[in-house]
Amino acid sequence: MKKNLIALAACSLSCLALVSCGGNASVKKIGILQFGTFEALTNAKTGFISALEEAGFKDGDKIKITISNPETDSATNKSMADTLASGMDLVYGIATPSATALKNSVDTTGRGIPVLFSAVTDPVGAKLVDSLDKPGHNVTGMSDLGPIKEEINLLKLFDNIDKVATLITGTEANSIYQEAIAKQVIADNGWSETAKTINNATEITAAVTSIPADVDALWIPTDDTIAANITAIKSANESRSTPLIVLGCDVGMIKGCVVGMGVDYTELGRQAGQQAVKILNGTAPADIPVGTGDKSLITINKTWATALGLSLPATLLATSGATII
Amino acid sequence: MLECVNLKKTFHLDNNPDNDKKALQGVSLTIHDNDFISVIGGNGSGKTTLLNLIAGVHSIDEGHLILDGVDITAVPEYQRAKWIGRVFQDPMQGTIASISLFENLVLASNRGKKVSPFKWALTKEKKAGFAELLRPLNLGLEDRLDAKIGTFSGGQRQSVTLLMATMSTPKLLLLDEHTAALDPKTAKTVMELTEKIVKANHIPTLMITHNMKDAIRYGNRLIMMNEGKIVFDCQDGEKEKLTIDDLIAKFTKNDASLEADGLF
Amino acid sequence: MSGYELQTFFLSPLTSGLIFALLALGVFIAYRVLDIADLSVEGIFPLVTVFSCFLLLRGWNPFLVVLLMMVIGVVAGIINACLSLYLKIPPLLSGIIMMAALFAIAIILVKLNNGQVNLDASTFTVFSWFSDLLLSWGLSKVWVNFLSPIVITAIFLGLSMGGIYFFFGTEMGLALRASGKNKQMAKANGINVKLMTIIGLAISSLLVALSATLYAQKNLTGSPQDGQGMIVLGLSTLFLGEAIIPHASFKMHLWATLGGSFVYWYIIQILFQFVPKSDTFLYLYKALLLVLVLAIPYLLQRYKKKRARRLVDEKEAKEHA
Repeated sequence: MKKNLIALAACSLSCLALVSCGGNASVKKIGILQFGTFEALTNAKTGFISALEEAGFKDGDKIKITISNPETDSATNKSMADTLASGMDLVYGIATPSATALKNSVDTTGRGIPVLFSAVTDPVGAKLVDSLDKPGHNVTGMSDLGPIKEEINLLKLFDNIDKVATLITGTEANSIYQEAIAKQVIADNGWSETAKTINNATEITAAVTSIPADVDALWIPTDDTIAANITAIKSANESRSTPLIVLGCDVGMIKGCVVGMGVDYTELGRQAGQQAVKILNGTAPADIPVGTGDKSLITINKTWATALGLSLPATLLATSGATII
Repeated sequence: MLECVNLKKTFHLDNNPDNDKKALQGVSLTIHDNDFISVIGGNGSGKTTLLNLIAGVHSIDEGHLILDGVDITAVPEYQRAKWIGRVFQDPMQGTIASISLFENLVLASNRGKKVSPFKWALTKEKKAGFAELLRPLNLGLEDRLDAKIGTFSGGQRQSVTLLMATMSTPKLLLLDEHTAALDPKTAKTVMELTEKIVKANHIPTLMITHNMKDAIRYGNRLIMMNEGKIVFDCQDGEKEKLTIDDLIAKFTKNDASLEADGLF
Repeated sequence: MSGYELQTFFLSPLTSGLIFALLALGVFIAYRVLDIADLSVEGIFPLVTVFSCFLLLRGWNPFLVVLLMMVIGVVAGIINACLSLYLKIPPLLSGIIMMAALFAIAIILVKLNNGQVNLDASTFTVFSWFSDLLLSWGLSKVWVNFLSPIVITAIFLGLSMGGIYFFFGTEMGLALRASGKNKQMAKANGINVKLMTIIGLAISSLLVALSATLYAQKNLTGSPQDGQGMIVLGLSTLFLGEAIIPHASFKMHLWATLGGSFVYWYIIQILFQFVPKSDTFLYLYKALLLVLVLAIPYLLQRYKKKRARRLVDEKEAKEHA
């Protein structure tokens, strides 16, 4: 048994020795921590890298990018955050758990390197920044909080709206935060809410089909699990006796939504990348307010609505800037 | 003294009542303080079930168990262990192979007592005491107290189990074919040890055996069981006169199929 | 590598190793000592991390929180044991039921908090208490930030290991071990196996809860996803420990588990830092490396035996020649 331990120790020490220390000091090392493989998060990563490239920061040239993905395992997430925080010049965390871990790891090392985030719905509540306008420290980024109020208010254009259902994944803190907002908007409009929570993708179909027949609409937040399984929403809605008007906060989910309003994660990533460019060019993160993406992106899935037998009001279809598919 | 009053036990193998196994169909037996009873019978006659019922492994469907005047019918198995010592057929069952002889003996010494989470289990005094207990066995086990039981032979393990079962002089000793898995020489050694311990401590004993010679040679009483009932009970004076042929005759008289069990 | 990177390379896995050694000890007691496949670990862990942060955010004293979490662990263990002992629910299922129930409570807490329960650097935790102490003694902030988690966790771990070692050396501890190894023999020796199972699971769950609250207080965050893969982590650590020190006595088994935890986290660290493409193939590499580490002792043994055989054969051949 001692042999194994010694062998392991020797192995790791020689690995260390082999790693070339130093390297070009002017090449900035950028670390990306993506919490899991979900379309939204991957888009936020791609957008980030493209924005850097467009500004002249190409990977391998002026910058060196390291990408880590713990696949939603929180202990691995933390280990990776520690490693990135100790060796990078700038880090980018995609999704609240990764952004949180990076911020805390950077604080521990005391290096004060800039920390960017995206796909975080409530940066203030997550204690990443002091306020959206004045982040306060070395952390800033892009919030993916969609235009929940404006979107749910679109239902006012329809006749006879009475009940609205909401569906979230219980393990996603972002979704919990958004549902609280949606709940309030629904109540303000004098409608009643049917709240549904799932724990994983396999429960989507049961949740959607169990929504009572007299409910008019279903609102879904920017939720990684639901977004990744939007086809399940689509089939479940099609199998209902009375279809729901599905409102989604992520234009990427339009396959399974009648109206998709708000966040485009690739665009969100790009804007985070543009913030990174500013920082690389000398601006302090505390001087860069937290961005909230382009809220006016709105897509209407008329094809699917027609297939479902839903008639869309003319006023909705006439919304300026709307993409109708 | 143990009184078994009209014990009945049926095992339900599945939901079909035709497949029920009526293991004991009304067994009444009194075990006196000076009894060493050999129990014989064909497979399925109910011998092991009787032992298990007395030990508390299975619940009793009908009937009572009265130990020294106290009804213990509802007492759970681990509490009956206070009064009842057991040696199993499988040498692996009575001891724990992966811990030492010392630890096994400590477990046995705490039988019937409250185990404390504050008292250290393995003490020097206990070790010395056990060494003295093991010496008379002449197996050299007193020098192997720290060895794991898994390194002992079957005969050694059964001897140890025997010692453990009788350490605090139980009110009843149950032996379930405890030499059946041993070679003839070792079996003889263990049987002689059994007789020695039982006589020295005056322990009422119930011994199941398939060995006719042993059944006749050891003990003062012999019981034959068949189909969940006691069909023959031979005590004291008469038992000494029993021969193997007598037993064979009794067997065949009761059930022709028992010959096929290859008992002799 | 910079000084920071070296520091992280050596100290980060050390901290993780210490915290998860507590988890592994809890898993050890359930799986090895009691021989129960206890899945409730995946529910206890997230409930405790979320609940710890929830209370700390609201100003609770962190030491009180640690105590409360240990009590929650004990209660969870008792309920788990009773479900299988008295309601005849198979132990595997009762663990799953506990996991589901505790997980649901964790989600409710997150809802009450309106989102992920994150603490900020100023929150009073057991670690920040010690950090402030060290700072007042004059150590630099960076060293304090690294040493604080290690020292505090090492203290909790040391106390736990000492407690476990003492308890399992007592009469009750021996009876508990017997219950896990041979129920029939235990009952025949007067041991209340049901009670031993309850106490054993309570201790196991207490250790898991302790691990979880330290984890939450160190990482300043708690989330329902924290339970994912904890059983696999605990078992991997256990098996690694047993591969390093095979056929260990009870005492050595505790040290082996600790060793296994360190080995595991150092392997992970090496993977991140030196193996290319580790972000895509990480889980594959982890699996391969575990297979290697577990297979090597066995393969070494076989090689040794063959070599010994060969030497004996050669010797005999010489003698006959």
